[in-house]
Amino acid sequence: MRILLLFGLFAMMILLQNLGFVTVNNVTARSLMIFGFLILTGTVAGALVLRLRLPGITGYLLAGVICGPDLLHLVQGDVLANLSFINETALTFIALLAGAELRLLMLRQRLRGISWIVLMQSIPGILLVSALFLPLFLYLPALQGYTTAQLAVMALLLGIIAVAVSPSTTVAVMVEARAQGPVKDTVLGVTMVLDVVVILLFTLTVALVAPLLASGAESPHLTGLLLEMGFSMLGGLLTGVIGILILHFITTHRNLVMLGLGLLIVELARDFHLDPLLIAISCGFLIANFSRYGSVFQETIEKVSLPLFLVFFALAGAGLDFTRLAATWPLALLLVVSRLAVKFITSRWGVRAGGLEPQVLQYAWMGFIGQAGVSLGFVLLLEEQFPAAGGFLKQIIIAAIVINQIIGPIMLQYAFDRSGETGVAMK
Amino acid sequence: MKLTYFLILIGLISLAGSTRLFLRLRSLPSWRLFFTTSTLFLLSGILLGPHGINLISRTMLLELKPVTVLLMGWVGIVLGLQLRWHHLRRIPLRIAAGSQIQAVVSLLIILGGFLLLWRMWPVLTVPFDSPRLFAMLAVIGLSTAPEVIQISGLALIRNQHSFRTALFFANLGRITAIFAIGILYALYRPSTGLLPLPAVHWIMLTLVLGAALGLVATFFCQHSKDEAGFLSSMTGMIIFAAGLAYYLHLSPLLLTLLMGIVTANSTPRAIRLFEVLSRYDQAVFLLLLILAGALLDIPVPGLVPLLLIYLVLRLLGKYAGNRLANVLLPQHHRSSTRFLLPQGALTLALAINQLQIYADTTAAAVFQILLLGSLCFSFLSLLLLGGWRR
Repeated sequence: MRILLLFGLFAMMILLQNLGFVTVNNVTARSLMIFGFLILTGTVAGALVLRLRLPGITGYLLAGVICGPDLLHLVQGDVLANLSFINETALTFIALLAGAELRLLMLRQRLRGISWIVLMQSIPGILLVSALFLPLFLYLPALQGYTTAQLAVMALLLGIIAVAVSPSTTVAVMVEARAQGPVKDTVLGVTMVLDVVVILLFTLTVALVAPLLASGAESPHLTGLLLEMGFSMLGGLLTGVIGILILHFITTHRNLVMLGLGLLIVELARDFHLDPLLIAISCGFLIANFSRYGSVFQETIEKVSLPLFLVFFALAGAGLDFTRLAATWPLALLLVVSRLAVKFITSRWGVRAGGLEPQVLQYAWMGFIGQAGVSLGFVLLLEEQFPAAGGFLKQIIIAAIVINQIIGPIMLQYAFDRSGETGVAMK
Repeated sequence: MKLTYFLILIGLISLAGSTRLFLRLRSLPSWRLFFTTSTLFLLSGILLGPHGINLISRTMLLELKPVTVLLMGWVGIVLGLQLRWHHLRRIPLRIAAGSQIQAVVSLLIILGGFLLLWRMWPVLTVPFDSPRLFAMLAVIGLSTAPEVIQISGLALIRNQHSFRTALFFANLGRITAIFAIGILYALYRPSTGLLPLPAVHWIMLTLVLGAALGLVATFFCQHSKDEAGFLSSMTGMIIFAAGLAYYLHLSPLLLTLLMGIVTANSTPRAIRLFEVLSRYDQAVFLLLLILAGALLDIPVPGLVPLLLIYLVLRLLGKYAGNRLANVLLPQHHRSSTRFLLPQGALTLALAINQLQIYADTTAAAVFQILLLGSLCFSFLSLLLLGGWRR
């Protein structure tokens, strides 16, 4: 029945767009229609893949891929651009949820383990990927003309990008699976900290090696970045106080009020050039740990964010570039496999050094495979710093991200299932 | 002010209005009709808009089109979900027929009156597409705000039967108005950007799409397991239906109304859907009122005579329609014209919608007349229903 409905919905959209009822391209109207359509198809596709014991996100991504420019052409570039505010809003809600999940008690208990895993992934992890790709770079025809030092910088930046993870995937799978337990706590904690560490490392590396790049492109300022992060956290604490006051005084229509809070964070971040994710994480963290509204806040955000998650991942699916994947798949596959191996090894080193539980040792590494937003941002920066080789590297990295984005949620869901943490939060 | 901040601000005003402020102020007897007819929120919109403290520009307001379309979609489905055959068949035939007679007579008097005056003084409406202007005013003029009857009813109408008749007249009248405006949209298609199809085809398309969406909504209603999934899929349905209407220049109210009717009559779980959606009903109506107020423009002098004519014709139309409809009803069931005069958020939702679909001077004129007319009828109702005295 669900498959029939999915076919029916797709047929309806194809007919509507191809029968030519409308002769003028009204992007806003089309975007609104597609927004609703993606929620519906994502819901059906998500329910279908759940039967295969896969995470709903895979279904949302799949719905997006089918609607995307490579298949049905229902979601095109103009609609993707028009709906970009959904991405920002959804990411903010994901960060609010992530912040709310970070409980002080859990952090205190796992601080040592989380620190070790982050340390292992960010130093030996980066070095391992870089060491693997540097010899390859020396022989690749597309990268001829660069000095060995420049190629080493390129390999180092590739290593940093490979270490980056996707908080959105982690939070979305975690919420959907209603996971609770040491694996979830460790994966979430590491993902959040690693996200910040990787941004800092990338900026620091680019700032330090700027003279070697000689691209003329302006390197990002570390001080500026640190200031932005500081102010973002401060902004998060302020919005957190607003959130607590709202939850205290408004007892009805909390869904709508929280939607308003999310939109406020997105808009404030834009106006003051701050990081919306850091604001939202700090806001969620404050409400969850320093008020009595933590669980109400979390429940409300979970309710509001489902349609946003659906569209966010469906749009991500529609944006996956399969043409690029087809062109560069051997190198992309190498990057994916080496990343998997590095994540496996370094996570286990970290878990052992941090003295965490056996199930964390066995399954936590699977939670660090998903890759999305931050990595894509880095790729653009890399292209800016290495204009000649950037395009080539961008193709490989984006193709690898496509694969990671597909296998990441599946592996994380598997980790929760195997460690017996799926559905525990609900109980 | 940026659009998002403005939306958050008016959203908060609407929520406060629908939860605390509205309920508290409603209990003050002498002012309650003023708040019931929601004039306060319309005036708030005017105050916040370009002709008040200018928090937002008119161009930015027009960018809110997707939001208003969504709000209308919400209103449409909530109305549609109330039209369950199980309930409808309990309405006495005389009252159902009476409500339609009342609607048709009002429509004929407003439309006929305008056409007659136009024949006599063609200069009256030179810059406008006159037939469309009159038809829109006549159709949207049909709607009445049932909230006024509900709130003032028990105190003012000593007869329970009479109270129920007035409520039926108002409720069925606004459904008739939504259907009638759907037909008008099919008759007067926007001149550019659409396939030139006969009106019947557009009407058929609306009906088919409404029914199909209703069936899809029924599926989601029946198969959503948890509250979050249920809310999410229903939000998706409303966004999709409203977006579809926007894309095809159809009436979002009619499309979602049809969707709601089909859903309400296909699954018992539609009751749950109605309960969930109607929680936000009042806030959505208030948001529409504030937006309508903010969209008000200073009326051009040529509109003033049209506004006055509209007020007189609607008054006459409602009076004559009610008198004729009452002929069918026993003495103690008869409703009073004064309850059928106030216009609320639905009237303005229809007015905003036609403004967005046609986006021309005629549509702007219709909007201004209806908005100012709505304000005038609110004050008139206060006088007629004795709100000032009590």
